[in-house]
Amino acid sequence: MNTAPVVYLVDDDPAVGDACSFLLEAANLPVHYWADSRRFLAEAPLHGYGCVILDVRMPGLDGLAVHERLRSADSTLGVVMLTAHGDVAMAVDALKHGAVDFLQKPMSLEELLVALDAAFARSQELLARRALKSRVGALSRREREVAELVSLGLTNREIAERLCLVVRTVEVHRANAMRKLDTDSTADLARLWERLEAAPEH
Amino acid sequence: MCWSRLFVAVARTCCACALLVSLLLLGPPATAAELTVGVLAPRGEGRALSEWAGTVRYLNQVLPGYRFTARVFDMDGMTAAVADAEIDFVITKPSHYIALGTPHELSWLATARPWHDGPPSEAVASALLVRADSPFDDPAQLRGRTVGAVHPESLCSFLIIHPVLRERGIVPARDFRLRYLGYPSDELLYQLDQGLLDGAIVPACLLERMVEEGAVAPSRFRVLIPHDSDHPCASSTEWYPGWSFAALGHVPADLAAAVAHVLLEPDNGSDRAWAAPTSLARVERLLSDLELHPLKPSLRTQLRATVVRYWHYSVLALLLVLAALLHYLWLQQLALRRSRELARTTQELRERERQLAKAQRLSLLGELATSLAHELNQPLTAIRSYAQGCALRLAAHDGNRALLPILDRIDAEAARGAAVVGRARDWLRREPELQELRVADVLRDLIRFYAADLRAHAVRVRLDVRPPDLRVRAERVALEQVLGNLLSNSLQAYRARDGSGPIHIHAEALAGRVQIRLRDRAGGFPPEQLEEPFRPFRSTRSDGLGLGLVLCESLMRTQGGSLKLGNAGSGAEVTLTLQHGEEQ
Repeated sequence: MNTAPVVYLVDDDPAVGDACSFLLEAANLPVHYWADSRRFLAEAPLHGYGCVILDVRMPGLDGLAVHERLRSADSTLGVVMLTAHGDVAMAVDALKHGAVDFLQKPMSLEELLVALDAAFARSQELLARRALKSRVGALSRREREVAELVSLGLTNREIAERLCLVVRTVEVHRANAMRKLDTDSTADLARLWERLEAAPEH
Repeated sequence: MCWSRLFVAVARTCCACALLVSLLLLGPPATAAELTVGVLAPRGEGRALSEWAGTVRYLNQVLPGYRFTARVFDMDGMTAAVADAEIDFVITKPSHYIALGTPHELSWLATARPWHDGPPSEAVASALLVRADSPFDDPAQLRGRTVGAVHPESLCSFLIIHPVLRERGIVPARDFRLRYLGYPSDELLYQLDQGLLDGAIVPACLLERMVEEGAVAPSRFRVLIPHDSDHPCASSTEWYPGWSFAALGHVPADLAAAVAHVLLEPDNGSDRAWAAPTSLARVERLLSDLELHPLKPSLRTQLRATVVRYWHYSVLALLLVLAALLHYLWLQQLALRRSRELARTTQELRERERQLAKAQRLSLLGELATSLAHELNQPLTAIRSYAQGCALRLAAHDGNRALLPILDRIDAEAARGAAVVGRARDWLRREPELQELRVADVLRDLIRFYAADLRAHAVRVRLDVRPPDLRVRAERVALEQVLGNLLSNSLQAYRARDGSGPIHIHAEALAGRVQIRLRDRAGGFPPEQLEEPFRPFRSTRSDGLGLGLVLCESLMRTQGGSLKLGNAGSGAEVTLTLQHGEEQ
């Protein structure tokens, strides 16, 4: 999380692309611009820390379709939609599907920065969840069971009884899980598990 | 056997008794019986009475068992008196006699000898008189002049001259200014003499008698169209038999015979001489000539008689005529109703057309505003971004700070421009009024609406709605607009290729939505249009605005539906997706 967030801009109008890049660079944000939505999907790193600004109306794949692809690719980029059209229904739809903000062109710098901040936060969240998922994914079935029961506040003895194991085995699984999940306290583990449970499936 | 003989005897006795009674009743009366002689009075009551007084008096003398009394009548009065059998004998003119004789049984006893001692068959004629000093030599010269006559229906004084005048092409009622002076006819001569009349149609011998009576001077008058005869009186016509004496049907035969006998005595002591009844053939001919003959009824009378006689056929014919009339009226009514219906349908269609055109105009305007907003917002976005970017950089590099407010102003102006565009767009955007519609109804109305265009391009539309009662939730006018635009796109595509073909419209329920697919065989969409289907201001037609499909798409979107373009086979396939009618 120490790296600076990257902004990807996708808009079929080169003038808008150039101007927005100019503005965002002035605001000290690294910008990468694509005029073609398909090429963006093919070329951009979709699982980094950052944000994509999508124009809704584009030839080929429009903004909503790109958003859809990003979601199905489990991208960690925050999404801000731009429209020159002022379509409320479309905006609601996009927000429902996880877009951070929906800005009406021509937007002001303040609006854009607020939206980008939210998008970065969202990206961080997505990254964390992604990391968490991959860590949870590294647990064995037993380690996972033990960790879940630990997060529920059960003692080693209680867990051993529940899973028909000796306490020692439980202690080993618990230690392994804590190590793999990079936590050093029971409370930490419980909080992490809670986050995992609450995380939407996108 | 015995009984039958007795019956015959009784019957004979009864017959004899009846005969006796009837003889007693009909036989000559014991006391002087009252008998009335009806006398027609063409020259006034007094004149008539004095003329026939001698005859009546003589009858009373010779037939003592009876008392004859003369009663004066005009024509109608006498006809009525004969019909009611108020009188027993009549003395009247031949024409009237014929009229009287028809419906009532009359026996003609004698014909009066004319007063001038001519033959009885030459008693009546008519004369057209003018003043001797007048310029008239021909009746045609009297056209438009005042001509007097006694009475329009008087035969011997007026009607008998008609055939003579007709030969000369004159119809008195048409050509003369006729004045009827009535009886006595003497007045005609007086007025002619005084110059009040230009001509007078009078009974022949009137002039001679009035001259003899010293009432007028003979040199004052002249007869037009003089009839060539050795008759002592001048006339314009032939001569006809004169006055006749007749007995009514109820007068006993022996009494009638006795009266006839008295009248025909060579010197009967009355001042009028009577002769045997003359033939009425010439009078009848004259009457039928004038279409006045009572026995030869006019065409109208004949027709009436035929109708009455064959009344059932007449009624049938009448019913048929009535039925035909009713049928005609019914047809008229039907035609009227049809034309009213047609007018109403046309009116409705025109109203729909108007609504659709208005909706199309408004939508186009809205789409124009939206599209313009979009197109303008792109450069405005660039302007704002550049300006804001400049301001940021300027502030960061601590350069010319005086430029900062200018850059802010550029930003503000661009925002203002965007606001103007946005307001126009919002103002033209309206919320759709969704309702439940039967797809089949909408499509059928659409085809009816485009019927003329479809015919002109020889394009047939095939509808396939499944199920037939399929319903959508949409805005009627908007849906009609979209379908209408798509239909006319297809038509234009066919026209561009100088061809024709089918348009298939298929509607069905699919995954909780309703899908309407239009498919033609007119070449389909170009690939670049399918790449970005709804980009405004791009038209394949030189005269197109390039908003039609853009408009359709946004109309579908506002109704909660969508529009998809594609190609299928040798043509275009457009898919509309709409909310299902049952979902709220």
